[in-house]
Amino acid sequence: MKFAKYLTSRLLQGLLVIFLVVVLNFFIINLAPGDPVDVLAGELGSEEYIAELKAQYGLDKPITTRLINYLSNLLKGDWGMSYKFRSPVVEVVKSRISNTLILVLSSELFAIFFGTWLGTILARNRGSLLDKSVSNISLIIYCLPAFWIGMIFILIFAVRLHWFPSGGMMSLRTKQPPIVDLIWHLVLPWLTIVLVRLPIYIKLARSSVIEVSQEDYMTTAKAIGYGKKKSYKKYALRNALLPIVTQAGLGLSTVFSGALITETVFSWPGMGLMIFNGVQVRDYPLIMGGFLITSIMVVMGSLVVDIVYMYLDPRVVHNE
Amino acid sequence: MILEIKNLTIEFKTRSSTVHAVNNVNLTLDDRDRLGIVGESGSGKSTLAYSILRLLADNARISGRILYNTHDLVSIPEPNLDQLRWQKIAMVFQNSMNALNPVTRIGKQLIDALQLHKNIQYSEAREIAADMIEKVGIPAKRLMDFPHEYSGGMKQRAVLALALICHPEILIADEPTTALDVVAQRQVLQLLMELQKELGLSVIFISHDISTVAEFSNKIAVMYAGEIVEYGTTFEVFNHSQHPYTEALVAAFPSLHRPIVALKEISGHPPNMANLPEGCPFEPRCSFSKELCKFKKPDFVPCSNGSFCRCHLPRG
Repeated sequence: MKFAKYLTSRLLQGLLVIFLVVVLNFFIINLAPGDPVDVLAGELGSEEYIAELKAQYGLDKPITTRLINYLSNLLKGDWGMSYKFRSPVVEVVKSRISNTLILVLSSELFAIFFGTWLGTILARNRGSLLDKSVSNISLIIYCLPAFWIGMIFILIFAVRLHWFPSGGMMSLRTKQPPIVDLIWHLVLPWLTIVLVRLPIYIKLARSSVIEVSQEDYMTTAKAIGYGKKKSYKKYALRNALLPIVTQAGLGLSTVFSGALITETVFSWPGMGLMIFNGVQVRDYPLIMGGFLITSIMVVMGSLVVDIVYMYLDPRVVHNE
Repeated sequence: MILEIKNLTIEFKTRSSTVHAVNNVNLTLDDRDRLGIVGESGSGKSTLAYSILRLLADNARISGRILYNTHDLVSIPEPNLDQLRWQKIAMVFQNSMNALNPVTRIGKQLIDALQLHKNIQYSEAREIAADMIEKVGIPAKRLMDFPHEYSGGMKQRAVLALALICHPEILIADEPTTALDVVAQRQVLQLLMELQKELGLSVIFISHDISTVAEFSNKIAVMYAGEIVEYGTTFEVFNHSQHPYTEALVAAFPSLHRPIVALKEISGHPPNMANLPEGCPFEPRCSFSKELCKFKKPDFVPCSNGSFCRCHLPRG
């Protein structure tokens, strides 16, 4: 009962957040300088042509009317028409989302599990050569921007060495089976995202395990005679997992909106590239659609985190 | 004699200095003794307690011997020590608020500890745990609560139940009542005394609160600057204090049974444990000090009243 009540209240909160995000996004995007008509008509478009285009896309109406139209359409499941792709936003998103999941979900999951595992090892061998070298290297990588890593990868592995393609997801003509071709295209962008995300989880897991190992209850575990392995398993792990679950939940919820920078650098046809293209041509419905997906996923992600938290940490429900 | 500490010295190496936390301590715990260790903060009493179960930080250097039966707890290999931990020697920690795993049910923590050391079924372990939790005065229906659902006093009782779950022979209680209010303090102390008798425990009770120690213990060791300066029966230590520090300590606490007089403070500060004086460490604060005290460390010797004391000029 307690659980159901908690869940309902969190769901309602989430819906409210999504609504507010949609409204806010609508204003931010529509009030930004430049509009799709400028892009479509070009610099030489006549005033009649511009007016005609504006009427065609409904951009001649006041912004509040457009917002109400957009919201009522959303409720009907209609996310609008993409100006650029000339098809419903829902269709565009559908065609992109699996591409994004292949790249971003797999790399994020890998970063979460491998990073947590590695961070835990470092924490348990704190001060060792392994700890010092991995910690410092991951700190350096953490400071590098994704676009730079991606471009360096392209420069080295695609341009110089010709080991991997510089972009795209599939070759047009190839003798390889599709799955091999896909993986061949996947390697560089996948590695880029892993490198960007891995240090976060290494650092978090390492500091979390170290912090927990200094707690008084770890002394209790040692005194009881659990030994290193059992006291880690019985006492440390669950306590140390809490901050990692939070980060992982947030990390996973951004997965659906894609890795905008990495996808753009590698021309990976996912959600991130879609949003980037949408912004370039002021494709309002498409950008809104991308942001809507992101906000829904962030809300759902934090809901999942809360549920996992309730399982891991009994204090959460109690304090609500 | 159930536990014997011989020439125990503990140092902590830090980057800039070496802290001499425990210096050449000799102490015996007899069967069913209630030994109180009293001293001010930083006198090394907790370090001494933690060293018995080898719970000190990695930078601790321990020399000397801690003998339990035929085992030397200083040198015994870790896996063998894990067998003795909790089963033979258990501990109640100072900070009960954080001594329990916050994400595991109290009962589960009791059962896990029990099943670690005894080869018994879950259902039987659960029964023993429920009995123990009732024994410390918590209703058995609260057994499967989480630590945060307990009050402070209940948590301290639960920590006590955890310590006693495997029926140890020796219980080390490190400031078990310090974090509690006076009412809960009284209750926990009473409970500890009852359980000591009932279970035939030998207890080492550590506190800076000399009145609590006096009430609980039949023997007392007074620590100053990492040394035991006086050791004897509670009666002798309180009524015929041999060491000037003990005398000053007793005078600094109000008595419940005697007329109230102005309390005396001990002037000065304890010495820097990283840079101990050559002679008696209490010499700078001692009102009876002689030239000899400045240069020669006194030995730990028997006194006329049966106590042991580390002073050139025992009060007699």
